[in-house]
Amino acid sequence: MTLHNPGQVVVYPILDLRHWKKDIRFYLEKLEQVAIDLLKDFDIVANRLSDKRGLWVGQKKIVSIGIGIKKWITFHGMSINVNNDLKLFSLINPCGLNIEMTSIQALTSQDINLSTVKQRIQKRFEKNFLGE
Amino acid sequence: MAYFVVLPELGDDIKEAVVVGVCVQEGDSVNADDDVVELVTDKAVFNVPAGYSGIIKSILVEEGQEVKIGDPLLIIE
Repeated sequence: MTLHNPGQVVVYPILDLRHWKKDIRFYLEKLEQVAIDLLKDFDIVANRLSDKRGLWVGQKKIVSIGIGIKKWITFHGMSINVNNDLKLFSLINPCGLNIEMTSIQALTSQDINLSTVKQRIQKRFEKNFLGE
Repeated sequence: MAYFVVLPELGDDIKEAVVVGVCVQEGDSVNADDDVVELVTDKAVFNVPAGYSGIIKSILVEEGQEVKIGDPLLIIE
């Protein structure tokens, strides 16, 4: 189970992986790298954990990832906690894991503008997927 | 002529997947493009297409079963 609420940026790319590589892990890692690069812009170091999907800052999850692929076309994607209300996560058991969530705002104590985040994601996406 | 539909290569380092759904029943008629089995790996859900047009002769997997790359999923005649 997961939760989407205002203040998250949800990125659901629809890509034909035949133009890149027919490899699920390749795609996941590219997608994760988009978020890692974005978070670096806010001086946040996010990590992959070998046994759990998503991106983590310490033991707290900041990005949730769940992808689907049909005929090598991607769907679903990732949600990045920017300035959303984290208390709502206590109402569910995110991804079946007993975990704590965090957000860019919680880690930086800054007011973060969602439009700025979206523009940065676009740039990071282009860099990672198009090499621009 | 009978064809085995197998779990295809999904990329480097991915060795197995878990069946989360079988989209067809024995006796169904399918086109090559039709999805026949839904699987999950690494938090990615994906579908395997029939690959051949014909009649589903036999389903070799069930929901919850772990299958390896190259394992047969079903037989199409």
